[in-house]
Amino acid sequence: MSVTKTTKIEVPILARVEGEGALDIEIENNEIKKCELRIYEPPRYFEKFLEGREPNEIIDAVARICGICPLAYQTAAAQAMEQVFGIEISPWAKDMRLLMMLGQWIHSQYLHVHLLAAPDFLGYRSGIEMAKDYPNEVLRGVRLQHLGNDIMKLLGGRSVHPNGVKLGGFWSSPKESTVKAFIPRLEAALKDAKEVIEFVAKLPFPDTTIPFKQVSLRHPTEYPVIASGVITSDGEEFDIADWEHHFKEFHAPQSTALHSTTLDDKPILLGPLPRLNLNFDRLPKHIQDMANATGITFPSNNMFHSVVARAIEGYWAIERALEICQAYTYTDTPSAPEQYAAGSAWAAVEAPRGIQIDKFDFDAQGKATHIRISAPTSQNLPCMEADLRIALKNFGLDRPNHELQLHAEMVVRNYDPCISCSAHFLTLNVVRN
Amino acid sequence: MKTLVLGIGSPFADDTAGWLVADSLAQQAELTDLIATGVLTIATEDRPGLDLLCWLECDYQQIYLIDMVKTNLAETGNIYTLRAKEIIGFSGMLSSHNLGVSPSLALAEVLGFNINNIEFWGIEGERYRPDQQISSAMLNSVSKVVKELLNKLIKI
Repeated sequence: MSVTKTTKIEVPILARVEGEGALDIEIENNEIKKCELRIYEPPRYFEKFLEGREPNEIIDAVARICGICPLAYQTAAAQAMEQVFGIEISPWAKDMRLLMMLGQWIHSQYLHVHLLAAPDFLGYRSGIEMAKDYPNEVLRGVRLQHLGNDIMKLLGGRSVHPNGVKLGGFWSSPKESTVKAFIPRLEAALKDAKEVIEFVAKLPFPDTTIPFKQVSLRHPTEYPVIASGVITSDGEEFDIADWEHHFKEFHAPQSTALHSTTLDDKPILLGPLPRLNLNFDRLPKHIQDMANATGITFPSNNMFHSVVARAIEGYWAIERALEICQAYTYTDTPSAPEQYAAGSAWAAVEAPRGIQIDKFDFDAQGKATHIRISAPTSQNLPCMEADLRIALKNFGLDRPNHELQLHAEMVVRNYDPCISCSAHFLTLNVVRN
Repeated sequence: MKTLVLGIGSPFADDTAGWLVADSLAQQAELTDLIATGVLTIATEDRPGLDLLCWLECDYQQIYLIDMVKTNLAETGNIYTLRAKEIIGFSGMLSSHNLGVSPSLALAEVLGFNINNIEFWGIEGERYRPDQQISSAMLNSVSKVVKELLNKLIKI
């Protein structure tokens, strides 16, 4: 008579990720039978309650979706609205939106690298524990994330629930002296950022290969932050408006967050690693050289190299922010005139952890009639579950439960998931008889 | 004595307490010279998190942190005065969004920052949703904290 051995690993609360999610893994006879990321935060219904609202109300409200990527939601929303209404924003406003997004990248990527990811690779339970042995590295992370936070405040007015963005541009222009004051800080940060790349390149990376389709935005001339082109690792290139012809969103029973896959149910991977893999040619040559000096060959299909991708992106973001600040001039027209028209448009930006996609429909009075907001974390969820199956098998399913749990958490944290962002996508259907 | 008053909060109801204390102190005529000469810095933060460490790097000899707290152990408006070391064990999630005052101070201590000069003034709050108004108990306590801190600050 054969004996079935079943092991259940339940991680009721995932630590060092944003929001509340759980992980259930069931192993039977050394095979993973169940691997589910349960997102149990309550849905927030943003898309529904913003219907009927005016553009600037919506721009303020979507900042509340996420505490760390508010500007990604605001930028994508504003871009979509401006397309619908036929508003052409000025080169000044385009630069400021990019600078604002770069601040968000700098803040998020360096916080993740130093305090959320590095402890996993170095065998510490937390950033605080790691700081005892790596004080200079942690302090460097603090400095860099602080710089990013200050850039966000410069244009967002405040880092939490920023309110600087409006339809057509910004509500106000920062003084030239205020922006120029960032130049020495950004110059000094480049040295720190170079050291971060060298630091993460030496981390011990588990050996794993991900087979997923990788997806990123594609900018015509530079590394993508705000762009309308999409590129995939299968060689496809299309406009963001064609997203639904390639990918679908659906409910998974274990999650309050929508999931995304290809039309034939394959997981898709978004975020820093696919972004770097698919846009390596868009980095300046000297940053490509720095990336090559890490010894990692890009494109890489080792998901754990995401931390290196974040560090390389961080360096690029600081350098690009420096260029914008050096060229900055004050304007007394930070916004184009507002106008409304009925219509529909898609827009997307690269949030630190992947593509944030919006589709807005408006009526002729400028009131939203239908809204779709797709967060990067919800799109990555099927990929995380599939990656866990691969990574845990490579790690060894016969290992003790606590080792499997730690490794599983490390795999999930590697995506830097933002669970709160993802948990607001339930469609509310009310039937009244 | 180079001193920092940092009001921590959000725009919501009782959670504005830290900001109200800081704003009120900044308007006190007795403190004008101290502020103008850089001896006293009064600032507000919405989510200090790790940025708290950047304030600690500025070599203040005395730091007052003011924030709403929710212990459910006392009535709204109750004022707690604690040393930094007394709060670093308090629970606080370390996540990409939520690095609270307590874990930030714990991290500061590990990194060798002097946190002995930090005094934490917490005011028990009950309302912190955007649709709520600040409670009268909280407003009374804000006035009390302003008065007590003003008495300390005019002696620096």
